[in-house]
Amino acid sequence: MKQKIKSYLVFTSVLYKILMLLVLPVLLLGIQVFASVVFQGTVIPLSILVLIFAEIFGDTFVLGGIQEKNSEKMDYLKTSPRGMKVMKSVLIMDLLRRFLSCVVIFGLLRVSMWAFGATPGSERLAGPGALLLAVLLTYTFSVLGIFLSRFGSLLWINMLCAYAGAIVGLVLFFIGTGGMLPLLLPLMNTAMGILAVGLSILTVKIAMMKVEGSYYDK
Amino acid sequence: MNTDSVIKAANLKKKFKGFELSIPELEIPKGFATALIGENGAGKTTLLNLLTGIRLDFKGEISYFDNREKISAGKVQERIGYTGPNSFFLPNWTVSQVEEISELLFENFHKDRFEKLCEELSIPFKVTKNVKDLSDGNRMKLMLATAFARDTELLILDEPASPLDPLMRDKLCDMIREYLDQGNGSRSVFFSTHNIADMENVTDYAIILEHGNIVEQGFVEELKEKYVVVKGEAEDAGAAGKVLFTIHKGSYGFEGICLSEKLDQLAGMDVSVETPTLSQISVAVMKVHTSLQ
Amino acid sequence: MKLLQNSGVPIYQQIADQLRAEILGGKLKEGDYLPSIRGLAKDLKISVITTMKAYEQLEAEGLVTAVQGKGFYINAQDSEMLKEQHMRRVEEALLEAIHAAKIAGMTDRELQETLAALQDEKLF
Repeated sequence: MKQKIKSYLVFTSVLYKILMLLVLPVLLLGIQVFASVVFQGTVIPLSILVLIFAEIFGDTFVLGGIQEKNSEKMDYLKTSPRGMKVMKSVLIMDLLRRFLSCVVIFGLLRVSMWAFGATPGSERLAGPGALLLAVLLTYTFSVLGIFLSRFGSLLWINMLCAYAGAIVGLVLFFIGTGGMLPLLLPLMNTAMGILAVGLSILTVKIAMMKVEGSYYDK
Repeated sequence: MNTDSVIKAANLKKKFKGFELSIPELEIPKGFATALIGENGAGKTTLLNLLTGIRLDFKGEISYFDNREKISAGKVQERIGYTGPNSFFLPNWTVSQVEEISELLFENFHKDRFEKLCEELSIPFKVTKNVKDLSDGNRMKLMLATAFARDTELLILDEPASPLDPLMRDKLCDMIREYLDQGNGSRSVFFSTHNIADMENVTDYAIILEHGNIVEQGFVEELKEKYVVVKGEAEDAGAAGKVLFTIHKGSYGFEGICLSEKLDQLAGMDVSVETPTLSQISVAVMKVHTSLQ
Repeated sequence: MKLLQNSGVPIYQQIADQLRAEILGGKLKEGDYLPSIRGLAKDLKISVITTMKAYEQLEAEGLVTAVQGKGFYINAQDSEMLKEQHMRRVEEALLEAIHAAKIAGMTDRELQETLAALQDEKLF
């Protein structure tokens, strides 16, 4: 496990780590505290939008293009007997980190709403079911976005995935928490949970298949 | 000359569209610097990719080092340093990330040696520059630093000299000689080049590749005895042309290369002979085999 | 050691000649080791095989002996062998002179007279 964490930390640049692990959470938390104090509001919907966008966009600078056909940029890994093991660790830890980020950030937002107060309207968007949906949607759409954009290394495709993922994620959150149908929220959570697990496995599998496939002719 | 070999391969075959690499037998001598010479598209990179284990779809057998190990047996790659012709790191890695990743990938990577090499080769180490922003020359220097910062027994370098300036090429030759000296016979270097003149003074054994086939190989000093440069008068050019591999005719005379053993067929002509350089031999051999005529 | 790149004399020959002179001149003594092949190649900025060829030539001349894994050490230079070495070089040089004389169209007699004249001048 230690080696796996190290692999991930080494693969991500200092700037990426500062932005994703420090600046982004602190910024969202700051806005939440401000919103709670001033008008007892919530920034959970905004956070879904920002997080999905940032997670997908940030990926270009870490594993962007890893599922591309032409993967000679992986040659250095391939000359090491441990290269493929390291690669797999990075892919898994990358997803794990994204999931933990969602859990921790939305958890902190929830805590600060308790601490600084929230209107009933805001509470409706931060109940247990809604909070779980926020986590699952953010994670699932981040992963879907990175999975799609890793097939190429064009920035505009990545940006497109980032925008689309963020907007669709947010819309689904409002639908799920809108209370139109009584069982909609638990149903959506179940669906998102299944989708999250499936997409995670697919993301690791396809990337490994592409990298390992580059040992052979396609 | 009888020497051990660091790599032995038999019946190597790799097919692409319109190209086939076919090498019935290959031995890279141990303890020496071996040059793989050939035009662009001769199959140099393909051959090196097979030998470094980054391409596994080929027919044939390759074994490494004294115990004739296979690359699938694990530790072989740990003992080989490699530099590639293209971007071989992820484009967004910074130089310091390359250092940490190397440490992760190879047990025998030495951070202190890498940093010293970066300084010696003036690689912008302190600046958090991405690999993709480095010039071709700097990227090659960075790859060389990662390879030389490890305790390896074999270096496989794909066109290391091409992106380097003349000063750096000289430095590269020095680094190769020092690497061989430190190994005292146990370390070997195998590099490819399409411009052998830059690397001539560091080449012990030469393999000339054309269209995926080895057309000539041998220790340089032996090749220099096998071939000879012939210069003669213009009126003999026609007759000499039948014996020489290559001939350059001018109004004052001719110059060409032939096999030393055919020299007596030039008897009666007023010719002078001299020892060829490896470049001259390579060009002559390639001219004979190339399709570009 | 001085190496000339464009002198027409092969590099290995230049190395062999200079080491031979040092051995015969007593600068390198019996039992000493020649510099390691790869070390010398590094110092002279030449290929390993070139140095090797020079050492092999000295070995063929009986000046040094190769020891597996240790390098080349300098043999005892007994006077009989030394003389033989020198004589061989004199013969080589004279043969070359004879060849040159033939091209120049000199008679045997003219050649001998030239030799005598040179000896008189005590150029050497």
